[in-house]
Amino acid sequence: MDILRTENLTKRYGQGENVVTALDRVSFSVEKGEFLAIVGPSGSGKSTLLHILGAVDRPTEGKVYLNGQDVFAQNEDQLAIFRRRQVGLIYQFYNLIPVLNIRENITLPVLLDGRKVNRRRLEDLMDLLDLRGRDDHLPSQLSGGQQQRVSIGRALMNDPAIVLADEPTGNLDSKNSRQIVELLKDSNRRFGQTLIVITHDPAIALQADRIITLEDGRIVKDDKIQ
Amino acid sequence: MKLLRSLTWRTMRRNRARSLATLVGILLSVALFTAVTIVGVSVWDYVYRATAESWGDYYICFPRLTQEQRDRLLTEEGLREAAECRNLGYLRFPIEGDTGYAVDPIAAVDKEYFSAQSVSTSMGRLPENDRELTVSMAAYRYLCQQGYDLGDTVELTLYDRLPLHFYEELVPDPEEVAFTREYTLVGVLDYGILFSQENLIYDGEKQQIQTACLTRIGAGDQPVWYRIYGKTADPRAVYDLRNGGYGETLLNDALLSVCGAGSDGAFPLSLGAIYGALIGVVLISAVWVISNAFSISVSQRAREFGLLASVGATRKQIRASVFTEAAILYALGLIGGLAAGLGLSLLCKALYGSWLEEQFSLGGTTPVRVVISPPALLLAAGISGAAVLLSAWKPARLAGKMAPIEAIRHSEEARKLPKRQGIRPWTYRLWGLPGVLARKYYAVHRRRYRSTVASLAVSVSLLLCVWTGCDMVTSAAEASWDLHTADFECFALAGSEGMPRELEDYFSRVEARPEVEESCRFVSRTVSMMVPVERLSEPYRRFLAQTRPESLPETGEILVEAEVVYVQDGALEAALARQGLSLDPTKALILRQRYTYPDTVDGRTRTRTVEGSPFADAPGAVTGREGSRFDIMQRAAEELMPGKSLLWDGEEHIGPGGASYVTFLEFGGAGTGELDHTYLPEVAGDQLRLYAYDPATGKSAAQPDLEMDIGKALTLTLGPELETALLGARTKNSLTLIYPLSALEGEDVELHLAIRVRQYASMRSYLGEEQHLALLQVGLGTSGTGSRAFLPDYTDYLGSEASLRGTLALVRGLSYGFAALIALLAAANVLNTVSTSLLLRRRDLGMLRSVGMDAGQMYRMMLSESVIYGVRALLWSVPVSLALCYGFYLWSGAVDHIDFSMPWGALGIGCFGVLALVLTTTVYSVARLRREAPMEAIRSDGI
Repeated sequence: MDILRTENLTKRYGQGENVVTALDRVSFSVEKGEFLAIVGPSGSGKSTLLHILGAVDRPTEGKVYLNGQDVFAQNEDQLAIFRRRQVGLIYQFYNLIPVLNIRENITLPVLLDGRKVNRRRLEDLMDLLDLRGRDDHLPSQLSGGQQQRVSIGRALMNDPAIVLADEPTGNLDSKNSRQIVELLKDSNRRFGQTLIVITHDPAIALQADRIITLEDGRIVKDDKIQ
Repeated sequence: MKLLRSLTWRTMRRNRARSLATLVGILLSVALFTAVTIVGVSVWDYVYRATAESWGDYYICFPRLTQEQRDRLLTEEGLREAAECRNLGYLRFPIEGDTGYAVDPIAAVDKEYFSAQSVSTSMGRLPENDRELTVSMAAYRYLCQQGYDLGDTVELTLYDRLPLHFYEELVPDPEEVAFTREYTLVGVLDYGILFSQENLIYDGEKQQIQTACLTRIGAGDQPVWYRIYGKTADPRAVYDLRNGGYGETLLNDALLSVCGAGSDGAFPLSLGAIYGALIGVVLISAVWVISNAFSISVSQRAREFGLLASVGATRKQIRASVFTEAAILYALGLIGGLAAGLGLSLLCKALYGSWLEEQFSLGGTTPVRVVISPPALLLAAGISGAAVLLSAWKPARLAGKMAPIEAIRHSEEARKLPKRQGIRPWTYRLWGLPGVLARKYYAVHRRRYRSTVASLAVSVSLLLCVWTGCDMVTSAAEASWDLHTADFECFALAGSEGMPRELEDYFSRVEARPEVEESCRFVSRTVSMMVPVERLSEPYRRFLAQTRPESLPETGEILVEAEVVYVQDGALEAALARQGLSLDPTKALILRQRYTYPDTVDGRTRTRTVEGSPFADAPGAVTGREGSRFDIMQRAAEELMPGKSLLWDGEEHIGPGGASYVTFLEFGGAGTGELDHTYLPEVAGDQLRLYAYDPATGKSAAQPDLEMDIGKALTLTLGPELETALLGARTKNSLTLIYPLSALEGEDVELHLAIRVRQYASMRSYLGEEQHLALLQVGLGTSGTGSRAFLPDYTDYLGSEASLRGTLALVRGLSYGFAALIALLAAANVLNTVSTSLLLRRRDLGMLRSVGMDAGQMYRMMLSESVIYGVRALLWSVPVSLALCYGFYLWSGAVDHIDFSMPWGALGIGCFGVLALVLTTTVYSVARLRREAPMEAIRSDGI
């Protein structure tokens, strides 16, 4: 069953002669619970695609359907609710809120939604992410790997329909990279969440169920991994 | 260094919004400095010229100089300018219906005299050669009677030169020498204050006429004398010149005060204090605004500075980069600011110029002009330059000190968070997530907001202080005004043979005017009464005790002066009818009064107002005498030293033991001004006795120097109290007795007509024309009876009150205008801080939006943050400014004793204004940020 579907997604930057096409009529679909890796050279449009899927950027043309619903048919406030409930985004540079401590950063989507924090899930996540005892620390007091684990926690906390990770290990050493990938795979297996990961690392890509290769904004290869 | 300058320039261009906001701050500051400086110089220039027009453009006048003194004075080193006037003699012409002569001095003056004395003409022009004559109004009337008019050639007989002391009455001397000369009558003088009877001849070629006069009439017994008006290079030098052995001198204290050399120095002190305060407030506000802008700039460029430092830029180079930005922005802001400041000054002139001319010109015609003096502009540029330098100094030092890696990480601020930053459940419930985030962000950016909080606090404080100050000044002025019940009062001498027909016609014409709503005729006289103290009512006694304690004995009699007003019968009957009383011409009605006086209780002085009769047991009888104490003392002066011009100095003094003594001064005479006789007065029955008195020892002579009959005693029978105010009669701080006009016995009186009008301007114009016409009629001899008694005049009470209110409104308007400009600076600061703060946090906001923060939550977070610093500004400014206001009130409490009132209006406006300002700027800035997609914001590196 498809959870995500894109139709002719196009993203252009600039105007006139300076126009740059980052995505060129990209269409694909993702099944529920699938672990998809998107690979390609720098500037191929991977991050742009991911940001549009996460509704933090808008396509110039084309549509994105999540659970059959046209994502960009919603207004700004509906999109905000969509982002906090349906999507978990993990960035290469963590993008944590510097003034909030670890616990607050993780529970931020729940708090924004005005709901009560599920303490059990929080405790489970803290254990899973090996962040016990760091609850009151600020992001600036953590290492890069720890900050990335916090951003994964934030992405998973709300039990979103889809988790999007933009080169989550691009900024980490090999040990931390392995741990992060294991975490993502674990959550994919344990919570049945759909996972889309952008990566340059073939080792990570090979652990996915499917690999899409982008070049110059187009899908040049879409392989299922056995 | 060239690369760094280029980098600075590029950074400024890239951050156009922030650069523009800083530029606006600098521009506004320069504009304010320029405007305050130009307006200050222009106001001083205007006050100087208006004062010079009214009082003369000189510092010191030597009214009687001999030839030798005059020659010596003109060689004095300190004397910068001198205008000369020489007495030639006098014109003499008979007074119709009188045996005496009117005497008008005639003087030859040089060109400088016309500006030194600010001579102007009411008709025609000033003389331009020694054959032209400009005469006084009195002489013009005389010449008109003789059939002459302007432009005619008139042969005048010049009598002997006036004696040195021409104030004294001239007795026609059959021996005096005269000569005749032909003049062209070119104008009628409109004199201000001094020597208003002089007729002028322009003596361009100095001494020619003088020589001619001397040749024709000889030196005679009277010495030639000169009058010289001088200015010294340093105004304070006049005090040395005064003691230079030139006899009597007259100081132009009004003008000297404007120059800061007055005997009291009040004007320059207050103008200087106001100017200093304005510059101080602008300087503080400007430094805050610009400093804030540069701090933000340094925060924005922190990563850039870190990178530069990491590749080897020195601290000095980094500081230079900040100063380069300051210099570029100052250069741009200076040009715009000077132009804007000039525009502001012109706007002030357009808004307040004519008003200022109307309020302060003392009846003159001095126009307000905007004085653009290069030193003033240089001063404005210098102060604003210093403000910019001062503002950039600290941020530049901070930039230089920044550790490279900290700057690159840009994590410094987050580390400043307090340790306990977790969300406690109750905190979350109380504030909600947006509120908690706002508190956290405020804690991080507290330093950045500090100057915004400060500038908001200054604006609110200024508003509260201006409001309270204006309220206090208005209350003090209103308490001191003797507000009249009438709008105008026309008056003229009626003569002893009943009211002249012209006066009756004149009053009837005025009463019949459509502008007149109500009118009442009356005659007012002053009566001195000896009243037993126990007969005074408690309110009146309290009033006297507080205002004239020295005159209130515990027992015995007290001399009080009452105003006896004879009111038109019809008006009085109507007033009595309203009280259910009937008219009784034998009894003096007591007009109910309101007494306002300062009352000190427990060391604090408050204004008390009580109402009631001054007498405790009316009706009854009191004894009195015609004439005021002043009149009696004036007569005593005449009796004391016949032949000398003496003047009672008009004030009573209190000597040792509470003795009340009076001083008689010489007026005119030998010009030494040293004659000073002090006496202890004693009233016994109908007699006044004056004993020589030494104020130093408090001892008086045993025998009186003067025993004088002070007139017949009157017995007034007091009637009931009249509670209704009558048009023309005073109802404040006075003792007023009312009789019907018909009870007045035939004698020389000045008849008054009090009127209340519907249309002020047209009535004033009408009264002015009537007065002018009557003057001309008398002058031209077309008056029916030819009586000089009828010379109508009028007092414009409504105009005076409007003028005073206008002055207060002007002060209020200027103060509020200044406060508004400072608020504008604060607004620029708030806008700059909020917008830049949001730009710096663009990435954070993008992240928050990417995890699902909606527009409402973002607005709530930013508005909460704004409210936090808005409230902080109020928490600082309100108590501080209230304390300042109350301190100022206590400091000035001795003046007029006005009660302190809380400036509720200003508090409301201040609180609302601050919150509205921070909320509006926040909403505007957030709305701008919302236009971009969250990812665009996240991609930005905050620089």
